[in-house]
Amino acid sequence: MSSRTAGAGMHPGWRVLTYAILLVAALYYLLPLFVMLNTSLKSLAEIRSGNLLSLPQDPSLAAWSKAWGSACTGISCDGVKGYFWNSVKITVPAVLISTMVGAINGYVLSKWRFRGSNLFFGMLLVGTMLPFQVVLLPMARTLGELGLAGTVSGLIMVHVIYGIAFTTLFFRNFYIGVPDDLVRAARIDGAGFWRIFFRIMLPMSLPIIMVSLIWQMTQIWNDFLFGVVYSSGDAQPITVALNNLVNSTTGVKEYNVDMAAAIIAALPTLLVYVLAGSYFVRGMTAGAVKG
Amino acid sequence: MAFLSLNNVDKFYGDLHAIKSVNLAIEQGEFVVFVGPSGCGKSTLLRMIAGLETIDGGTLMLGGNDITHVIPSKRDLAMVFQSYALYPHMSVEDNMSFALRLAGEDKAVIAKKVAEAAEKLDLEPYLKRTPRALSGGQRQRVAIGRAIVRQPKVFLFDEPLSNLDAALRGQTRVEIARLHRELGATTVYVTHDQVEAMTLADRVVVLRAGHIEQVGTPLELYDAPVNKFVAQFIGMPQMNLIKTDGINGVPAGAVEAGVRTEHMQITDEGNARIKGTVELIESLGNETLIHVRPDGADSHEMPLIARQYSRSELNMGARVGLGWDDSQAHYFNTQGENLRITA
Ligand SMILES: Nc1ncnc2c1ncn2[C@@H]1O[C@H](COP(=O)(O)OP(=O)(O)O)[C@@H](O)[C@H]1O
Ligand SMILES: [Mg+2]
Repeated sequence: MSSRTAGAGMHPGWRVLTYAILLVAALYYLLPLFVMLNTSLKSLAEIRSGNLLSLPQDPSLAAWSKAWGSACTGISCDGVKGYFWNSVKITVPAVLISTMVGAINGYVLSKWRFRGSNLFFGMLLVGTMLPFQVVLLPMARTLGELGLAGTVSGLIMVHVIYGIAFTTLFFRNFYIGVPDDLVRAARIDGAGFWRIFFRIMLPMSLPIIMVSLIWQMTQIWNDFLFGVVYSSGDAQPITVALNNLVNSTTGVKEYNVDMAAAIIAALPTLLVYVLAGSYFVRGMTAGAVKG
Repeated sequence: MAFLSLNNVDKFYGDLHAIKSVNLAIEQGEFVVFVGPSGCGKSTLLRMIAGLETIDGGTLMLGGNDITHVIPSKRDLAMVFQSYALYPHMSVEDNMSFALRLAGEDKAVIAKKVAEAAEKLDLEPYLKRTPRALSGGQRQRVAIGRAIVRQPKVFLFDEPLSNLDAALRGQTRVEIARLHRELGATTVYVTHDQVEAMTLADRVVVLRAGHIEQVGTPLELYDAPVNKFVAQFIGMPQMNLIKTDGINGVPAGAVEAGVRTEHMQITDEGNARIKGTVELIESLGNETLIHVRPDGADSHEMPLIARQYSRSELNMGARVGLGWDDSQAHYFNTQGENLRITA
């Protein structure tokens, strides 16, 4: 690994070119974010007269506070804040539950195999490849039967069920790399199924827990389809509210408010990547390194 | 009555009859070693004793109690694994005390037992470290320490030295022998290394394909193997095997003669039992191994090897005769049974 440190032994000209290309690529990806942030700080008049890239002459958070508290999303005009908290209420439990269930499933499928456990795992893998659209109708029916249609709890359940296929895959593949002898040693030491899970397996799972949390958080927070189909009115997540806000036509199109709302909607996932992104990369490669 | 006894013990993995009606009686304080080629069922048998694999037939008795279906932690035994199997997120100290903590043992008692074990194994400076910060040899000592702390009735080892380099392996082997002397604990030890088996064992159990071929002291196995398999498995270099047709003076029913390298004598061609050409001479200083290709043998057959403890004057390509003293030879019938033992 160390023999391939960036640019070592490279001709200086090539190095300059490499960095130039990387810089252009970075700018290209950052440009939309810049435009959004820039626009959200301008007044409507300035947006109409100026150009996309010119900096705001008189930066203001007015669009932000409108997006948060008073913009119209469909029929109500209370901003996105209620929907933001809906998303939090959906995402936090759904992420935690699906990660926990995935950890237990992965533990069983790798360390307590049973007759047919490979078949079970195979079927679960199919779950990771199922497009959202396929489960829409059956799931709607199920939610109806359970009396959970249109509720936050119903949406949590949908995300947990859909996410388990992924989280199980993560944990199962991680635990396959943990020597079986560790479980044997713990059994001889007097630990049972749950004690081995909580005192041996979970404490060594930090990298894969991070992967699962980040993955699930991104998926669930950013979900639009399940949100728009299975929730209504006050129970909708922020992605749906954002769509409603952008599409509510009350005279002029308020680009600054749209941009502010979009950034608010994207902020949590952005933050998670900035704060925990390195864990994600480490976790994804953790299986390759034996303790 | 034996301390630990296996009575007609069976193990099935689906259609595979992995352990075939094994009978074995182990006395208190005995050091018993299971040897055999890879896949013969050594680990499986050990794990059945540990309670990590279910026993599908027969009974297992320890200290007069039937423990056939008792869970591992209630069997009062401890196990050391080839991969060490240390809990990676716990300190050395916590690794060693885990079982006692789970059992709800008193804190002061735990501290005392861990300290004693650490002292015995020279682990005192490392108690606060995690396994990651230890060398392979130190990790294995921690694994042994974790077993000692529990003061079990029986110690089980599954190829504990296989992950160590040659020098450390020799050193740790001596250490395990010393610990066994000091603790006097009944020990069952699995290895595929016959040197470990010969040097550590009070008795060796030779396994093949899920059943016991022979049980005996190391020297009994060396001097009186019951069949060709055991004869060839024990001893380095392997015992010479010679087809007996055309050789005079062999017992009735014998198809092959087995002669250990140190009993194979180099003579003049004259009227020797076997004539051949010296193919290779390995001078090791203390001993010399002379490889002889018998006349008429195919080139892919193993040469016969004579071992002598004096330097050799012979050159490669020299014509020699080979002979042996019948009292030191083994004769095998078509089933591979040793005629001297079975007769
Ligand atoms: N969990 C298992 N499932 C199926 N077959 C197994 C299992 N464990 C061991 N075996 C088989 O049982 C036989 C004995 O294995 P093992 O006891 O590990 O051999 P050894 O330790 O002597 O190398 C082998 O053929 C092995 O493939
Ligand atoms: Mg084995």
